[in-house]
Amino acid sequence: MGSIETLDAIRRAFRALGLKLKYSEGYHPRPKISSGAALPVGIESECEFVDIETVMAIEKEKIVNDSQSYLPFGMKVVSVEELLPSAKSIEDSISLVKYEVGVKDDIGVLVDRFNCAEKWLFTRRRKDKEEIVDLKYYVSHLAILDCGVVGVSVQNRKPILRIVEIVGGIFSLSDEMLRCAHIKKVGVEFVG
Amino acid sequence: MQSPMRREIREILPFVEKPFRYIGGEVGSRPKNWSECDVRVCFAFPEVYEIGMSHLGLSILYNIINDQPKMLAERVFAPWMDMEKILVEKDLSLFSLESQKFVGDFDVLGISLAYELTYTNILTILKCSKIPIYTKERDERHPIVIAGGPCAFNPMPVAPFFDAVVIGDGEEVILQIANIIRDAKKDKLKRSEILDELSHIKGIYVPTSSRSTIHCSRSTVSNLESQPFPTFPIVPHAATHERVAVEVSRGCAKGCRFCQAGYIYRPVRQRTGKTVTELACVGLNNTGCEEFSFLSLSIGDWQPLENALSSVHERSGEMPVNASLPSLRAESLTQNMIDRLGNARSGSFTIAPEAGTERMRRFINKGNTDEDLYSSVEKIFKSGWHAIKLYFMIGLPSETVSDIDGIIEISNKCLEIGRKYHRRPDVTVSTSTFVSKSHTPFQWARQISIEETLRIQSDLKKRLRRPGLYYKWHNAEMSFLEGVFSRGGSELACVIEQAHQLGARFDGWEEHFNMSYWNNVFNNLEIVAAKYLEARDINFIFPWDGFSVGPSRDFLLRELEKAHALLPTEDCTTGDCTGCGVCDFKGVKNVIAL
Repeated sequence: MGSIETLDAIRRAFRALGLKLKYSEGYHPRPKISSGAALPVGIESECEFVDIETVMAIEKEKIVNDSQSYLPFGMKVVSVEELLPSAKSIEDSISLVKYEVGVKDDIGVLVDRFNCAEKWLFTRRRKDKEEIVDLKYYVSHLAILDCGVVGVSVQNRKPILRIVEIVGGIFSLSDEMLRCAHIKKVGVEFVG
Repeated sequence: MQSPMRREIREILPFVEKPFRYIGGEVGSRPKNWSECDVRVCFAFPEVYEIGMSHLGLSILYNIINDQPKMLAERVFAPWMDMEKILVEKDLSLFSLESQKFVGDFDVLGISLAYELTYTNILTILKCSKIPIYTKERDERHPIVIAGGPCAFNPMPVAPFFDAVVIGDGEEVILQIANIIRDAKKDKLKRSEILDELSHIKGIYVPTSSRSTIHCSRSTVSNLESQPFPTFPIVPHAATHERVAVEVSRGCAKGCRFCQAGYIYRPVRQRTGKTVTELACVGLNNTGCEEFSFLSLSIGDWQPLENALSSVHERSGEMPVNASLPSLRAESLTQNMIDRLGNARSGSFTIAPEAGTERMRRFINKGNTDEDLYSSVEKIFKSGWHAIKLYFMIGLPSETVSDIDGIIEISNKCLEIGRKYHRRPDVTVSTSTFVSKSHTPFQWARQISIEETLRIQSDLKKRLRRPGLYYKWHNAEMSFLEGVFSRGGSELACVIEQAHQLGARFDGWEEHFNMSYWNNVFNNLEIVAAKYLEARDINFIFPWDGFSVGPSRDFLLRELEKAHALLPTEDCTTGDCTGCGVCDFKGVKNVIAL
């Protein structure tokens, strides 16, 4: 599911639970639900964060325990925290994202080479624009976890690079190979 | 419990567009234990997932079967072209959403015949499921393939692809079918014996059976109120409409002479306001949807409408809900309905005048006047709506230039009314070409050619070019093909097969429709397709004439004469019986909610 479908599923689940969501004003009122950077289709995640504004107090345990019946298979609320109104947005709060990536087996050499390199240049392409970026600027940690599986920690920096671009750039994977790669987001770190 | 995804399916999902189409696991879906069930039915809608999931019939039948302890129902939709290609390349079969079982492993495959331009998708489903497309080529290894839906009232162009066709309401028939299958498996009946059993059920046509060769009557549920309706519908991952749909009534007695649905779904059977309100509220609570819809062929005639709209709004409390209704008849629109419908600041309000002049509206028995229409448009714009949509048909029998002029006049007048209340109102005018349908008074009428359609559309495009006026039209070639299948016979099955082989897919999508495939096949088979659009003599034998499934032929002919005399036929739910022949006044009769 894409990010829009995911947020819609969450919105419906919270509404079915009886949570009164806050709506925006204007021509097309929308519930105030936001997430961080969209998780690309095809990537699993154990740690997605969603900010929701409600007009009522919430029962955290009820949301965690009862939301499962209203969420699609494979989606689960693991915890609920209240934020202060002054809290930063998710996008601005996350400093680092951790992934596990299942790629080809013979990656040991490439991991070592990346870790030893001073720079690792990559061409970032967006529509008609191309720019050269250094993947070392983004990747704070790269290590083999298991046979064919690496752990990658990616810092939240601009210009934004997608995990598939980073993995493709480090391991020289084609588009087809990238589509077959099993990528799972397993953790985040917050600023401060 | 939803099954974890099969490895071979997980491996192909990264290579297809919108993989949510194939993963199942939705809220409201009902995966069951395969081995604990005696009967396994796969319901297929021959369109892509996000369109097929809006189909209420599939949802109703799905829940009826899954409510039985030892029966299961799952779903499959037409695979998009990228998925079809991969399935073929990898020699993988099409699979169901709930358990990802191969479609060919089910006992029954039920396919909806919702629209003629989905026929090639039916063949895609069969081929991708590794089921022979012709019934005569199937054997004990294959599921029983059954069709149902509005096009089943003339199933002949696709009859050779189906083992059985359900004509009419499916709620009771589907259980009868499932019970036969259960008993047949226990008794180890052969396929031919199963089909023979099915042919004894009222409302089932078995094309290969000598017993029911073109003599078949319709299945009708006598009372909708007592029929099961899903209270926890499946919430699609993505859909054309995200809303809870409640079927308020089935059947229509307004007698619009072009409208097949108005004849084949008779008599009128309405649910009570209390039941509908409850179904809507429970559905909204269970799904978390923000919008609901009351479905009916003539929603304005359902007396409890305003109270039900108010009740649902009240019960939703502080959770905002929007209501959506099918296009309303201009003369039945009240201020209260307008106030309850959706968000006036976004979206548009739809009305279907159908014809540009009062004369033509009398011809088609639509009955409403220009005054009714303008009065409704005034109410709509005054209530805060900025945009309206007007639906018209072109090519209706007896149409003249003044009927087209009438469309222009009405559109301009509606825009002027809008300008009294808003600085920039929008009026969208949408036309579709009249297609002569079976079981209607106009089934003998001619359909205009592609060239005639294009000429009228060109004229409308020029004359509706004005700020605030927008014109949308239905593809002329698609209407042509729809007309061919609408009155065609089983000789068209090989046309569908060959067009499919050439690459015809998703013919209902303008961007994928390709008339050249069809023209190639018509030429190769030396079929003059335009002949299917010609007027028919009143003694003409139609392919569906053996079906006793709708109003009598005599009634339809009388209606045709009345059309030419511009005489009305009243609604029998509020007046006298019009003698259409559908009711027996015992089990089959109008049931009106008060």
